[in-house]
Amino acid sequence: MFVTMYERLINDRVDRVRFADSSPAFTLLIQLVDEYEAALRDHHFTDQTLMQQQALEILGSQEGRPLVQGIQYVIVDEYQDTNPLQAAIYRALAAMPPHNLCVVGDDDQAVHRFRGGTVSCLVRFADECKQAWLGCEVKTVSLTETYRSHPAIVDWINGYITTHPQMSLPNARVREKAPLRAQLSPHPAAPVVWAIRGKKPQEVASNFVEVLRTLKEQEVIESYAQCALLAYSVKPRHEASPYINALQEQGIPVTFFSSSKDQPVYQQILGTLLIALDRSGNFIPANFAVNNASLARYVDGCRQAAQADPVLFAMARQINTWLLTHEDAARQMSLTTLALRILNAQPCIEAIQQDKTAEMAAHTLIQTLDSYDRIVEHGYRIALEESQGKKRVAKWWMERIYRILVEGVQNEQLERGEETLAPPPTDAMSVLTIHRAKGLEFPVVAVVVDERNCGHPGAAHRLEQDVLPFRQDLAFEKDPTPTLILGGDEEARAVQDLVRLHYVAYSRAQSLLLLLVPDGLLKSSPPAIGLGTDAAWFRQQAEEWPPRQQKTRKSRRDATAAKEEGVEQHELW
Amino acid sequence: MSFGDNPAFLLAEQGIRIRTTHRVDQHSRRAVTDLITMNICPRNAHFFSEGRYPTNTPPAVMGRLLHRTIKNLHGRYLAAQRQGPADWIPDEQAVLEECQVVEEAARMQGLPQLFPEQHAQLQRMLHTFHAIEARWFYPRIQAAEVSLSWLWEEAPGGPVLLEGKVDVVFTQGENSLPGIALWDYKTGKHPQVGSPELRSYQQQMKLYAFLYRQCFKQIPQETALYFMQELAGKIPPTERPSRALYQVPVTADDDEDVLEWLGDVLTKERECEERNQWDPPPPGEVPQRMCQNCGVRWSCPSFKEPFNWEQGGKQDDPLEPLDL
Repeated sequence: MFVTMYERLINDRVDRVRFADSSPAFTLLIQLVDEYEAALRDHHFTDQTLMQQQALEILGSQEGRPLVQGIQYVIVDEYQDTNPLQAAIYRALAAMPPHNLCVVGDDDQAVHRFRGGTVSCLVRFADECKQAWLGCEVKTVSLTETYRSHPAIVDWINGYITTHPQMSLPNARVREKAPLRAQLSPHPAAPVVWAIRGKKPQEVASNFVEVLRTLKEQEVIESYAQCALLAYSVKPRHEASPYINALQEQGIPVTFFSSSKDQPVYQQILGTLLIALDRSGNFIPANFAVNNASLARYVDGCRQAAQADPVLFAMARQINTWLLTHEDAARQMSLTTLALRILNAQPCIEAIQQDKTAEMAAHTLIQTLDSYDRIVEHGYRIALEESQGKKRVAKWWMERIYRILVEGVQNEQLERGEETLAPPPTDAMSVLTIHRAKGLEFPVVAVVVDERNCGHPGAAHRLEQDVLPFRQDLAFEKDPTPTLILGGDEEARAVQDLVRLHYVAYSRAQSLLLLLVPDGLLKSSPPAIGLGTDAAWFRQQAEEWPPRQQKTRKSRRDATAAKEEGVEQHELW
Repeated sequence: MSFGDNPAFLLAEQGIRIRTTHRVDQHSRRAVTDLITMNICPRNAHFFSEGRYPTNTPPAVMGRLLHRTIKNLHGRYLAAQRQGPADWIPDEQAVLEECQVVEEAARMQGLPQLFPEQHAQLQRMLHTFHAIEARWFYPRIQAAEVSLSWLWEEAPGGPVLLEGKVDVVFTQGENSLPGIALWDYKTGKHPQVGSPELRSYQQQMKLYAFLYRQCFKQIPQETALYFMQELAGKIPPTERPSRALYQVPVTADDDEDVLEWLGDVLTKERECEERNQWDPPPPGEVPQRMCQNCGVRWSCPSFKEPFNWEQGGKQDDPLEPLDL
């Protein structure tokens, strides 16, 4: 929580003095910030946020002037996810007249508010530039042509994004934004946006699997690898579970664009390492299972992954004995060097040789361990201690591994977010989160529509509003009303975030979009945010299957029959 | 709108076929050093190419410190040119200061510290290099750590962006033709003539020279390797030892050979890729220094090193890596 608040204060360029003076809680927060920064300085450490602030300070200083003098053009991509501090850095880089600063972004795809992104930087780009550089001219170029999706999908996403009244609030979107225009399609009238419905998620899942199988059988698709299932979360026991279970039960291969930490080889190596250092798991903090059940499960899963393989289990025990009995063994080994050796164990190296995803996962783990060794351990060694006349791995050292390393891995705090695992060269359907799908595209996309039908503001929404009156970059604003600057009140922004998230998901589809919708989502009032604003609007926009009220019964003809009857074959793209 | 039929039947009925279009958004990229590794040992290149896994052994760290110190000193030289004193050349004190700054930064990054002997060796190399070369060298440096890249459109298997980074580019002597020289610093000693290491280094320089020509349309007049450890003797040399600089003659006629070599390596890589087989060459054909620093050596059918905890396993004694 502290890191979230700290990053918000720095990223939003908050005037600390005024902020601290405004309430006792904020005074305390600023004291903590000062202590944190002092600790970083003392250890010669920095963090990403602080580095950016220091970069801005340098660029604005006398020493920094020569650095920007030679810069003629500054181009920034994905500007919708930028924050006020980064925006100030870009302006500092473009400080030399005529201030050639070009930013590219799509405000409708701003889904990184939780990481400090502020879509208003893009929406208010022209205002901010004009304020920074009096008299400067800001040209807006609308990139409306889209080459990705079938025209009917483009119509759907255009309609979806504008149907929500929260998206029409001032500063929620770029002013007078033109709708996307699709390329011509050889088959424009094809029904390619479908709601796959059912009374319960299990029934929707069953119908969805039937559609997929038929698409393959009828040769509409060549391979399940053309399809992707997107959801807000793809973790076990979350909303995507019924669909993943149904796919697996029906023998449709799926591959998870999951994070590396969930790859078997990652868990095998980490599990072997943990057993080698803490043979019986005695040092697993007692409160793990109470405070964080999923973390306890993860640790257990890793250990079991190693225990289940006789080679790895034997290796873990050998390493343990060796570390405790050979002089200097612990001193010359680190987590990284040990893990590199475990990677060479037959089950791991074979997995890596056969599967690129496994190779990337192992690579991610080793890099993570290297960072831990260097930054947390600040060197390379394994700490030992004496206990009842026997050597053992030091308890404090091992507990730190569980609390910092394993917890960091499990919460994905130690992975670089942009890393995308290579799509597998198989017939498997991809399963991935919407956040991970950003920037990707698939011929067939199925989206697990989120069940929320109203805004649930989170810490990020509240924080950005709380700090807004103290933002230095808004000092020129006569009336920096939070709701106006940020594009709406907390609830409206929470709705906007969900709308944008669904927009990103829907716009991944090239040829066919399937919305997975239990009936309750449409029946609730208002319906789920991912379905627009009212059920009638939704039914006008998307086909439904199975139909609620069967008005007509079309005769079923398969593709073979169609071919025999001379029906023309079309390729969507 | 609603239809009684499964949407798949409806689409099939309309004769719709969804086909994947494979778009190439980015050209395939290959670093010169990775191609050289590929040529020596496909297994090392595939599983352990540079940057894939951290190699933070003290000898590897020493190489990085050496390069970084020279780069920083060049930065200070440029700053002096702008802000004065204009005749500033790194002296012994500046070299030691900068070396300390770089070592401190590495320590703060948690990189392993050098052993005292390595630390002394690093200082000797840097000090002697600057005592012998700095006065004439720095004023002629055009750029340090120069990135070179060239898109080879006709590469076997499709266009490939070839990339390399040469340590320093400088102008030749005032009285000779105003040609360009490329140098690459190597932390080690001059390898034996005819050794696989030296052949790899020669190939590396030919590739850099080739990329330089493609980028700047100019043939480098001199292309050379500087073996820093030749300067690290107990009695520091006062002039450049003959074995320190190894010239790699390069002419425009080499283009054909370079392209043929590149084509062969890329073809070899594609064949490995197609079979998913990255077998190492037979024992003895790979420089020992590459094997000793390879992260997949314990499972290598050629190298066959037991794990530290197995019978016959020995303490880690990392050699200086093949400094590509």
